[in-house]
Amino acid sequence: MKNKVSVGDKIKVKKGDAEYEGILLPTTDASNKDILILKLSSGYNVGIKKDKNIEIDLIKKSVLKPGRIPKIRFKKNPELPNVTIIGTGGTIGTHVDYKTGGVFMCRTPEEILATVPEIGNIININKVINLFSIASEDINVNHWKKIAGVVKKEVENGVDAIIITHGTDTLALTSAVLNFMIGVPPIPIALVGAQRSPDRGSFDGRLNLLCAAHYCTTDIAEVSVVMHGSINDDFCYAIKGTKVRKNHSSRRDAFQPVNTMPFVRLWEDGKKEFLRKDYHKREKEKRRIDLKLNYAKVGLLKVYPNSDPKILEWYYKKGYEGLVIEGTGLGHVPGKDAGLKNNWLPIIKKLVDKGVIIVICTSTINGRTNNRVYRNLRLLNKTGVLWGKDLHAESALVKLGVVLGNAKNLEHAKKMFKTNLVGEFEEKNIVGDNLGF
Amino acid sequence: MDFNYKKLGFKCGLEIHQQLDTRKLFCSCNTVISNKFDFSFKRKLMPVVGESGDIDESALNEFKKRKTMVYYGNFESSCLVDMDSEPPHEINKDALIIAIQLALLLKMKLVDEVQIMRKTIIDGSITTGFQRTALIATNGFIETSRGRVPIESLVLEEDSCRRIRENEKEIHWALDRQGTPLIELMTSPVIETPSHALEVALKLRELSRNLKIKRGIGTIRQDVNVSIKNGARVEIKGLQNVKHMPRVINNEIRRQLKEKKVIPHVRATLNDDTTKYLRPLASASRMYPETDELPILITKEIINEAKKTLPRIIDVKNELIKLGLNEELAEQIKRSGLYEKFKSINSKINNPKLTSTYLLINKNADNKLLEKVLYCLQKKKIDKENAKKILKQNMSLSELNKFLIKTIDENELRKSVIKLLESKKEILKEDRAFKMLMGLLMKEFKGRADGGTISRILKEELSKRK
Ligand SMILES: [Zn+2]
Repeated sequence: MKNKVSVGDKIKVKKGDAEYEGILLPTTDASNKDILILKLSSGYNVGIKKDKNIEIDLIKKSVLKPGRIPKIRFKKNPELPNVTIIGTGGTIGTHVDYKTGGVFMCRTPEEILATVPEIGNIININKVINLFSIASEDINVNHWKKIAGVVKKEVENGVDAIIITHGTDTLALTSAVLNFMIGVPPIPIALVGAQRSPDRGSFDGRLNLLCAAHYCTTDIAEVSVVMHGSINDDFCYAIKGTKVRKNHSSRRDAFQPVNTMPFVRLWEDGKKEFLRKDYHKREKEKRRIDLKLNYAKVGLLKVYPNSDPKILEWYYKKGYEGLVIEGTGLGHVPGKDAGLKNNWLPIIKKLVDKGVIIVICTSTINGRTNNRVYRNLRLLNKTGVLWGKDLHAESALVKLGVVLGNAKNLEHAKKMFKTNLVGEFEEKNIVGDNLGF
Repeated sequence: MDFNYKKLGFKCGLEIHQQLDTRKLFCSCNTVISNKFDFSFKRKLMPVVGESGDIDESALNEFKKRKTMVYYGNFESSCLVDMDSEPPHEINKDALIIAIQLALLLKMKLVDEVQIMRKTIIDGSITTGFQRTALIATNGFIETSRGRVPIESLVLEEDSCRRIRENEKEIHWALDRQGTPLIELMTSPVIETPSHALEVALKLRELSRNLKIKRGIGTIRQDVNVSIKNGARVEIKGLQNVKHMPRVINNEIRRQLKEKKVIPHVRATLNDDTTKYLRPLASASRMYPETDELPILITKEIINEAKKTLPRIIDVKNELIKLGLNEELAEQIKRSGLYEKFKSINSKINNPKLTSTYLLINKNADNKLLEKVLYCLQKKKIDKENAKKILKQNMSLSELNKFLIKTIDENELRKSVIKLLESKKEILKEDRAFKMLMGLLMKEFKGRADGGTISRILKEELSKRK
């Protein structure tokens, strides 16, 4: 190598009778060993293997400069609600530098507007708070506590609504736990994500953000997930944070209501179709939020044919205070007829007696549990378990975490779990046919 | 009508897009075009912020006017990947191998590691809003009658949707074509004359036809870049028939000569081989890495695999001459891309001249029908006029039967010969008796019996009477 070259330099690479001229790019973790990545003038990147035959010449130093963020030249409209956007990570709320191919978090209202300019016609972006930039599978309790803390502060500061951008994988868990930590909020709070990246024309987060903005203009003072309602880019649903689930790994309409009706169907142009009336209404005066920030050690497991109940003893030894078990169908666990080694009932009873709260949910996601229609259910009920009813298991899990973390004692925790704290239990299961699920 | 191209400062390069005959490039869907649709969905594409990048009220109003895209899919040729509702699968190895094979045939330099890119596409013709494209090889060449023409690059990329219709509010697209693997070849702008351009196009086509590529209308798209001294680069798209290339190029030269100032732009070809303004030349496309795919190392193993299945390139013309065609017919069959068809039909008919003559006037004829027609012609069971008619109208085999000559049974024929000999006894004494009788019989049985049979029976009967 004649000259020392660094990333961003324009260089010429000769290798045998092949010759390339372009800008040296940084290698990524996706690349293979000893590969040098060059951006050619045609726009294409090529990977060239560094070996002893390679000749590299510097043509010009530091040619690659990052692109700039577009300037926004329209005024704030005082008529529109002031909304704080809280960034936590995920593809939504990021923007792409097409020149370098890099992906960056939006740090200012301007950067969000640059990605979805039309949002400026719906809300005033009061502030953008970048809490962290984390893939949603890496979210943990500390992140939840931070989000809840910032929400409280912003509500008390008097914003009209809050939008939280979040990776989609655990979005529904964050929405549920936030709802349990802050209780029923006095203003609309929307959690929003994207299934496709924002560099592409078909970025689904565009509609999600626009509809989240429209949600902020309503009087629905609830924690909701606002995501695509269909495979088309036509409308979004705002679904109660405790009753929503990601049911597809990649479709844009992955977020579906579980045993509930969405609050509202929202279109890009501002059209709204309210699907229920029983939501909590915006409160102009109330600005206090009592946080339930403690979160207990809770776990989630599943029963299946041949499953070994001894796993429960491991959880007990590790200090778990509460467990959610996804039973089959109406909430069954393998009983006596499953055989001595596979009978879950005695060990469940043992843990309950030792003060572990065990909640039974259904692995079917949709539908509710039942504690009496079959003999085995009645036997399970006798062990002293609690029932998740129409809560899906992940929602029951975070409710149990918050309840156990903040109750005065075990009995209080059990009572709190059975209480309909933020509207997470619904008396009746919706038919849902008209929604297509 | 020909110009002095050198004096004109004629510069010309080709860009050829050829569909591969495989499954899609980033999913396992088939690539069959069909107007049977199983589902549809709508998308609104994100506004793409202008090059200056700034956003004001007028830009916002522009965003409002965007059209809705409506996509139609068939379950066989479309899946969630095509709908941009699932990340792309691993690149189709069959397509990658074909691309490597073509690169080898063109003596190109393969890159060490293929980087798949996203090229921004804003018209809605691809559901994602970008086209996945990858540079596979550079620096190749093809030998031509005017020397080597460099092939600058070989790119493997996905095709876009078919546009079905458009109205004020919506554009309708068919998903079936989207994702079909395409190879893009770009020559250097060193082509010397319009007929040289045709030669390069035909040579490249002939070479790629050794590989698994799609054939037929719409499977190849050839764009021509043309400029002359004091002119500017003009890109001509939509050339349907490659043979019209020289005419289209000459028309473009004539047009540029008439213009006072030529600006760089894109033109579309019209039916009469003239062109019309389409749009300004696209500025360099926004291209950035496809982060959903890993870079692909071009290993020795994959190159060897490509070499193993690389067909032996045969000299088609030479083969045809060996099969018994003369230079001229061999050239015509080769040029028309009828080598395989000719070989297959002639293997049954075993009459190269007859087969090639009829094949050249009926290039698209069904193999079975053509074989049957040629067979009947050889056996004189059909006359030439009817044969041509049958092929031209692409009749079914059963329809063909109606045109078969009703042949007369040999016993019947003999009876008629005897009857004739008895009624024309006076002729028998003449020297030219045989010839005269033959003439009469041929006239009577034309089309119902062949001359050989008539002559044999006549000879037999005459000898009995001597
Ligand atoms: Zn597919």
